[in-house]
Parts: sequence; C-alpha cells; structure tokens
Amino acid sequence: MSRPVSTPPLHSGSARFKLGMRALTGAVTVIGAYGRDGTPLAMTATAVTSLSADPPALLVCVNRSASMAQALGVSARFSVNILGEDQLEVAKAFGGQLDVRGTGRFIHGNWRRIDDTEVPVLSGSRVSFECAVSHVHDWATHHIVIGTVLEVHFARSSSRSLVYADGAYHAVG
Amino acid sequence: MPQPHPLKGPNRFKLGIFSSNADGGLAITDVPERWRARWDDNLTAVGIADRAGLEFFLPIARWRGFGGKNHVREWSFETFTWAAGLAAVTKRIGLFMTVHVPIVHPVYAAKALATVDHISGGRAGLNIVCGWNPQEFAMFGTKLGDDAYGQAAEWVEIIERCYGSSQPFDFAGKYYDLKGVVSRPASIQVPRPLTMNAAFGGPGRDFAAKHCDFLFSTFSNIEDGRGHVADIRARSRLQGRDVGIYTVCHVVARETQREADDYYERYAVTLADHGAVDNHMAQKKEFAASHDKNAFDLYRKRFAGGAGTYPLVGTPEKIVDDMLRISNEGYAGSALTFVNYNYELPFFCDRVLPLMKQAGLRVV
Repeated sequence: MSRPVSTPPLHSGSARFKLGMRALTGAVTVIGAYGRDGTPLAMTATAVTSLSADPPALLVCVNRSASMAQALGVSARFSVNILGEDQLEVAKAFGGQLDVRGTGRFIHGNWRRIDDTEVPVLSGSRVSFECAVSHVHDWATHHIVIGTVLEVHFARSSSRSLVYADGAYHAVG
Repeated sequence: MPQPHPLKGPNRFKLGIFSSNADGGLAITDVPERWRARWDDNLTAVGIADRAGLEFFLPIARWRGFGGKNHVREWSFETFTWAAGLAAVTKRIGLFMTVHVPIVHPVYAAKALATVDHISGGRAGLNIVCGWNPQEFAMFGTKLGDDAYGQAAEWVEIIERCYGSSQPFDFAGKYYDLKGVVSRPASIQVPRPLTMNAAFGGPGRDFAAKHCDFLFSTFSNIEDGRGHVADIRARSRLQGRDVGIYTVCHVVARETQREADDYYERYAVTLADHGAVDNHMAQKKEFAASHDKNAFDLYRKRFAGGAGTYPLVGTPEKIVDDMLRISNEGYAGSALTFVNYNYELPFFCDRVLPLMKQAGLRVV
C-alpha cells in the first residue's frame, strides 16, 4: 500500500483547487445503500469512476463525514445510478439542493429494492450498477471505495445524460 | 426494472378513484343505479381507470354501515385482499390499502402490504387511518384512544424497520413491545410503499408531515384550499419532507349543466337515503376530525352526494375549470367518486381527460 507523500499543498488553499475543478465535467450519479440501522441512504455524487472491466469494478469517493461513508464498509451492498436529464429533481434532492432531509428525500425518484440483495436501486436511471464494497482506502477527508459490480440494470428510457460542470447541471448526448 | 409508481408520474393534476370497494361509493342515495360494490363491479371500474391512465385506486375502510334504508357502506371489501385481487389484473394503476392502526397489528400490516407490493410490481400504497367511529371500535372490543397519532407513529416506524433489515429487531414503545421482529419479503418500493393520510386536525397533520407522502384534505370552497395547503406545507417543511396535497371530489359530469344539476338533485336530495344521511352526519360531527366544520351545517346535499367532499358537477368544461382552480390552490390531485363508477367513468375519461390535457393539467 502506497503512503501519502508529504508534498506541501497548494499555497492558496482549497479555493483555487475548487475553482479549477469547476472545469471538470462529471456524470451525475446517485449512490444508494442501507445504513447500519436499516435506514435507506442515498447521495448525489460526481466522484465516480470506472476502475476495471475484468473484474468489473468502479471507484467511488465519499466524504467520511457523510453517513454514506459509514454505510459503505467492506462487503456492504450499494448501487451507483447514472442519471438522465429527466432526473434533475432527484439529483437536487439527494445533493441537498431541495428542502427535504433524511428519508424524506426518497419521495424523489423511483427507488426499488432488488429482490435478493435488497440493494436500493433508482429505477429509471440510464443505468444502475449493483455493487459490493471490495476495498476502502482512507485519504485525508475521504473514503475511496472500490465496488465490485454484481449486476447492471438498464433503463428503457432514451433520456440524455445529466452532467455537472461549471457549478450547474447540463444534459449531453 | 419495474415501472415507476404512477403517483410519481408526470401529470400535474393526478386522479384516482375513491371508495369503489364499499356500497354506495361515497354517495348516500337510493337511486336504483346506486353503486353495489360487487367484485365484478370493482374489476370493471379498475379496468377502465387502468386503461385510461388514472393514477390510483383508493378504498375506504369501513367495518359497519350507516343504517338507513340500504345499510349504506355495510357491504365493503377488506382493503388488503381487495388490493391484492386488483393488483393481479391491472398493469399501471397505483393501489392503496386503507388500514386502521388500532385494529391491524403493524407486523401483520407490514407483511400484507409487502405482499401487495410484490403482486403489483411496486404499485402499492398505504392509507394510514386512526379511525373515528366508536361503533366500529366496539365491534373489536376497543375504544378510541386519546393519543391515536402517537400510536400511529410507532405503528409506521415498526413497518419501516421491518423493511429496513432482514435482521430481527426488538421494539419497546409506549403502544408496542415486540421481540425478535423479522418480516420478509420487504416491499419493492424503498423505503416503503407510498403512504397517505386524511387528517384534518393539528396532531394528525403533524403525523402526516412526518410519516406520509400525501395528505388528503377536503374544503367547502375551492378558495379555502390555499389555507390548507399552506398549513400542510409549513408542517412538512419542518420535518424536511415534501408532502403532496390531494383532495376528494364527487363528480356528476354531463353534456349540459342542466342535466348534471338535475341528476345531482335527484340522487343527493330527492332520492337521498335520508335516514343514513342523518346517521352519518351525526356520527361524523361528533367524532371525526376529518372535515371542515362548515361542511356539516351547510352542505347536507354534499353529504348525500359524497360524504361532505367537494362537488364537481357540470359539463366537462366546467369540471376542468374547477380542477384547474383546485390545482392553482396548490393541490397535486384528487380522488373522485361517482354514483355508479362504471356508468360514469367512461364519459369522464372520454370527455374530461382530453380537456385536462389541453388545460395543461395532464400530459398523458
């Protein structure tokens, strides 16, 4: 396991970094899982990356202060749902941009429980990846979570992809 | 993947059918064509509604009737089993069950509700009611509780915990003391099937704000609607929730206003089942907190017509104008009742729904 290198960070702090990251266009996803007490959790995230195709795996970065970070321990099941443009409200609800909290957010989006794994999946997304946590790596404020893909659910919708760039949602495709 | 629940669909003003499981529907009338609520009647009605794209079917929970000539509502189908039967023969429509908290144990309710959610492919909904009728409670050897919504809060929490984990859990509350509870399957919908309530008083509305996705509210005049909407929105915002607000209307739709008015007069005044109207109004006035108090004094006709709900009476154009006004007050939809659902729904679907689309109230 490689260790963080103690290079001094950007002199101006995180503000300049965040300004720069506005140019990094990200696909909008919502991650869904169950908390340890059985409460469903979901959050909007753009820090999701394809990791490997063999085995199928993806990588999710979650702030350790988020309740989702506690839920995504090794072997936990979760879903990564790639949103279409018709799911803007869902992205906002789970991104904390609407006036709803906790499980109250689940009025937005069609959340379905997969029969055997019981993973909450956002039906109607362009695609939903059903995953199991294989590895969690700590980095500063974040957990880097590697998920092995158990199943891929495709929607019938022909919706364009929802992306986030320059601090705003856009549709592409 | 399953289809989305229709109540999460795109229509600005959603529509459902209320009380087809009970004799008379919501009317208290002696016209010969009055609703008999036989199983075949229910199958026909739900077929019309499902094909027309209406969003939901909502049953009433009644254990005894209101007497009078026809013993109105005495014949009513139990709502878990009713919904299960309809779920198997429909494709799109949402199916509610109306369940009395003090009468049905939450662990039983969790399993029955999940069963209907599976039969329907995620189209189940739960109307949580605390009850108001002491005669019905006496049939079960119980009385109306002082803290009905406190019990209801525990009741719904138990259902949610049943679905949340396959690990057994204990529950120690004021009303329920349960050991090693487990219930599989969980519902298909996450975190649970959609829930609704029709409370009118403060404690009931606070319960709905915290635990329900939809609240049904009646009004005497459409313009009074915004007060209810503002109240419910304020209460639900405090809970970090977005509760959709619906109403209930009884409908007489005819090609001319005169035909509609004449029929309304005929079934709700001339041929009303007056003895049952008296009983129902007296009981509701004494015990229920589900109606605007003006409804009792001013609107006997509306009680016979549709248990004190708002009347949509007139031409298709007039009815759409009224629904547009209701929508503009902030309502997300309405449950509808008819004297005879099967005789009247086809006209409503053929003539009113297209005008709603033109008016921007519905897209599909």
